[in-house]
Amino acid sequence: MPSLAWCDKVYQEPAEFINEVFAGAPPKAAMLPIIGERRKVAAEILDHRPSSLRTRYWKVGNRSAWVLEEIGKTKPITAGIVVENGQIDDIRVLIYRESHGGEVRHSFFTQQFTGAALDQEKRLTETIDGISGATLSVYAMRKLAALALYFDREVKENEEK
Amino acid sequence: MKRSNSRLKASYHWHRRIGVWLCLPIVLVAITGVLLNHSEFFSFDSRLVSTSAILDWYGMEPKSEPIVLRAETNWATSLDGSLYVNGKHIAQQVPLLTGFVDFGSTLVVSSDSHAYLIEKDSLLLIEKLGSESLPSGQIISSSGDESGIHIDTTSGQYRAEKDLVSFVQEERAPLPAAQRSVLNEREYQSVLVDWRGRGLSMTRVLRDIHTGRFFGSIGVFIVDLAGIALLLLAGTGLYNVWKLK
Repeated sequence: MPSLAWCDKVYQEPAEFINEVFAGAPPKAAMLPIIGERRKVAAEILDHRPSSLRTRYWKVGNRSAWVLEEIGKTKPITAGIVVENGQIDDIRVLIYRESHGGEVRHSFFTQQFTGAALDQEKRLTETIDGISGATLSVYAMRKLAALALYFDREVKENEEK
Repeated sequence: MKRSNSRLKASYHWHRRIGVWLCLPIVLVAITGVLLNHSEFFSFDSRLVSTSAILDWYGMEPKSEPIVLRAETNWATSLDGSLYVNGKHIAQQVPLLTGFVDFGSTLVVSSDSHAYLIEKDSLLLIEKLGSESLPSGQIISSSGDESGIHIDTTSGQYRAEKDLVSFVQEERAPLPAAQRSVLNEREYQSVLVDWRGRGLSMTRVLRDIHTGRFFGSIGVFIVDLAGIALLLLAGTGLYNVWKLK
């Protein structure tokens, strides 16, 4: 695998994740610009400026898939998130780069996100329990889930216009 | 009675002495301990130390020579895995550069596993492309011309429009390897200052002060003494209170 000089733990390649989500027939990727008001809201969710000006997504019907990154303690966590009908259907850690806190990849943690939606304050509607020793990774995953839900909502609103 | 009084006197005496002799390390350990307990609240993990003296103390120097590619008047460099374009930090964990293209309003940098699309004026990252967005295989080389951006990977040759939305396979000769360059002194210093500032978090420094490691092995010894001193202070303090009753 390329560029694994660090302690990258690749649990699933992002390309494989997208392929799996859409049963081997992923749609063509679309782009969502992260500019203007959307950028402000994304910054509120992330607690910092978004790192890029656009994000890619894959969508069929009411089901969208996102590959997003957020810094845990000091290194980015790459997560794959599936949103269906405005709720989290699946969330996975695809690549974990920190030396500690990798418990967030386990299903006992990620299952908590299933069914979570976004409330008026752009917070998750489900309570996500933390993991001792993985606080920052848990926080990163929460932010990514909220961000994917927000982006999914934005895509839907764009389609309805 | 006399013996008991002299013991009490001795206890007071040592309680005072220990408190005075070791008050500085005890105070340092206490303050850093409280701060570390609330490191999340103060965001110490993401706050980076930029003071040259402290960075010098830690010996923050890159382990390898920077990899440099140039495109027109622009330069991209990977310094111990940190990607900089025209001196601005773009991304981390980019140990290798395979191509750098100037497309007028956008710049494209490729490593062996990712491509970075950057807005030239602002040097803001437009998008970081990973395996979900790129052709399969490791990127060997990339270049650009009027037809778009060309990428050679271990699985074949591909082309995309300059916005890198999607790739199509193409038949052509393999691209030459990217030509490496070197940084001039001004360029090197500009990235070095930033690189050093990204390497040391406040949490790390506080923890090192708290454990004494910041001051080397003598610091560790003194903090151990401070720990023992606190036990003795607690012991003599309790004894003094008990004896006064």
